[in-house]
Amino acid sequence: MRLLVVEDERRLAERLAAGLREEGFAADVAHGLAAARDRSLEADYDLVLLDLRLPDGSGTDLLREWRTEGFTAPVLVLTAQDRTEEKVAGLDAGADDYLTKPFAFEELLARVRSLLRRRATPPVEVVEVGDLRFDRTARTASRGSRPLDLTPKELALLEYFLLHPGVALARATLAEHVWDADYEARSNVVDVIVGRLRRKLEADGAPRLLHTVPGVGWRLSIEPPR
Amino acid sequence: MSSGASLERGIARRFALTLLLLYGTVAGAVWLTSARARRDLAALTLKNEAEALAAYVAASGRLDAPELQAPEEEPMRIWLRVRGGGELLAATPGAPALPVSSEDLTEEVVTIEMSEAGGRYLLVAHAVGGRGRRLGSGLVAEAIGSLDRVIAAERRLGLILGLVGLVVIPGAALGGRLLARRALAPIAGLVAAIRAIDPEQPHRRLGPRHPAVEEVAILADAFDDLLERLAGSLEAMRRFTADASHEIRNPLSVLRTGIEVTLRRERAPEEYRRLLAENLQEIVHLQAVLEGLLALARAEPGAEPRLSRSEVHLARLVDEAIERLAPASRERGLTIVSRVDERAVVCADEQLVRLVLFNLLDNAIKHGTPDGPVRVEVERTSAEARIRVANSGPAIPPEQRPRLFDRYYRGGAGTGIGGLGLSVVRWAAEAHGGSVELLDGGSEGVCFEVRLPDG
Repeated sequence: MRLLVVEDERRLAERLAAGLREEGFAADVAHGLAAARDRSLEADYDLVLLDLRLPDGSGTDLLREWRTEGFTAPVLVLTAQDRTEEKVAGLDAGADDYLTKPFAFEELLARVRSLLRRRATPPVEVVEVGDLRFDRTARTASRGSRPLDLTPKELALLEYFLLHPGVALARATLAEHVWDADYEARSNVVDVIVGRLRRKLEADGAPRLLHTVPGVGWRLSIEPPR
Repeated sequence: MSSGASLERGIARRFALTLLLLYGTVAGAVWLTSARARRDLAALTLKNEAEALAAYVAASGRLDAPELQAPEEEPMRIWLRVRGGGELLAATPGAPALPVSSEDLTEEVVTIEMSEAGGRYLLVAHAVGGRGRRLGSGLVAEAIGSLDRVIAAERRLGLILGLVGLVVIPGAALGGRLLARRALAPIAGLVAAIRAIDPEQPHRRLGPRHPAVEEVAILADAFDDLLERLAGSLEAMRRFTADASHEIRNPLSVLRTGIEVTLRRERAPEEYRRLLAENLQEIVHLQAVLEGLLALARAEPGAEPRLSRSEVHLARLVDEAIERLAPASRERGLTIVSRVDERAVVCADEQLVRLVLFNLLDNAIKHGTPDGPVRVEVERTSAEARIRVANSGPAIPPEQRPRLFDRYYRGGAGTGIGGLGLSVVRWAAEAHGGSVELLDGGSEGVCFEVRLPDG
């Protein structure tokens, strides 16, 4: 899942993004309205964390602009104001939720997960394919009775595959949704992580779930490739 | 409702009292005038009777005048007497035996009012035989009138006046009350309107709804004026609170998020060290923000600030500020160059000068171009110390300059200038009788100059 952090306080943005990356999210940072606007055109974000008070204008205006343009990703507003009017203004402009600074990072994560779950219709908490079970709230995966020991990045990758079952996903698509702007197009990091995830899924000789689609990428399915 | 004197009751009471006084005066005057007129009339009638009797006695030399046979009844009961040489020579039957005789008196015509057990009487004596004769020395004709009817008429009039008063005064009091209520009705309307004002909507005004009554319109105007000023200071306070919460909550979130993210897993020692160093910078910044906020919060608009002046060595404070901000400037890739007159000593409030230097430098570092130097210069003239802080950041657009130092201003598009820092600088400089201004540095770079005169 790819997130955009719009926050002018550089150090806060940096720390938030680092924390989110460690949880397996891809996170980009924008320090102002203009940068956020550019970023939102460059990549397809799954969620935006938006500070309302930015040096080059109000986050509320950007939000309104986005919503009229049909930008549908959930937006979680981060604000230093606890006045009701500000919260109402943010929510009315199209925000899905808000957090007042300073917030607990745990709570931020829980809200991000909740917003991402809600986005799927109907909201999916647990995804199952064959004997593979993925709990989106607890962030755990198991195959049959065997729990899988996955890193946050592997979990994020598996989640993305599970949300698109049977679809052949290209390397570029995975890079866009699971990696952030620091991903280097020519690196083989996607291949490496997919390979590692596949090995963990197939430990103890379990049948293959992640199939290679030649010339495209990978596909998650219980059916073997035709 | 409220305690204290009611204007409505007060007006009604005063109105009733005034009316009572006025009516009492008029009624008293009427009564007195009427009583005097009746007595004058009675005296005149008796005088005529006495004169007529005297003329008759003088002309006929007899005491058998018809008036002596029976008392007159109109306009009062009248008895006549003739006296001479201390003797009562003739009298109308039934005449009261008045103890005082007119012979004791010396005038030609005397009017005596006297009171007896049987009533009150008026006596008029007239000397027989013409003018110039003294009463004691010859015959005297006397007319005695009973004042019963006069007194009864006076009492009747008094009763009528009193009864009228009893009706008029309470009626007037009631009327006064109604009048007062009516006069005060627009005020009651104003009070209702004032009560209806929602403190959450301080922009509502009374004015246009009360144009009909001039006095109330003035009151409404005055009240609107007050509302205007209150709304202004409320708005300023809200902005101050908003700015303050922004300035405090942001560094706090940096600290909290950093610590929470770091604690989620085991880290290498260098990572902990880096977090602590960064957090220290944040805390230094937060401390300055708090000091600035406290200084501004203490600064009551219009009030003379209390300074604790002492000899302040500017070179030492500049070094201190540079040291505090060194990590931040390293991070932005800036170098700080200082050129400070070592002898620059000024009599000022050290804590405020520290705030001035920190905020100027902090601002210069925050908005300076990376790799460009930040320059600090301190110069001492005979009358003042001049502190100049310059960076190579983008120039401040002309339209933002007038409001740069406003207490709650945050610059608009592209600059990110402001926050509380510059307003703290201005307040502190002005508290010393000094000033701060943006020097014209051409298109590139921003330079602020603070002047601190000797205290």
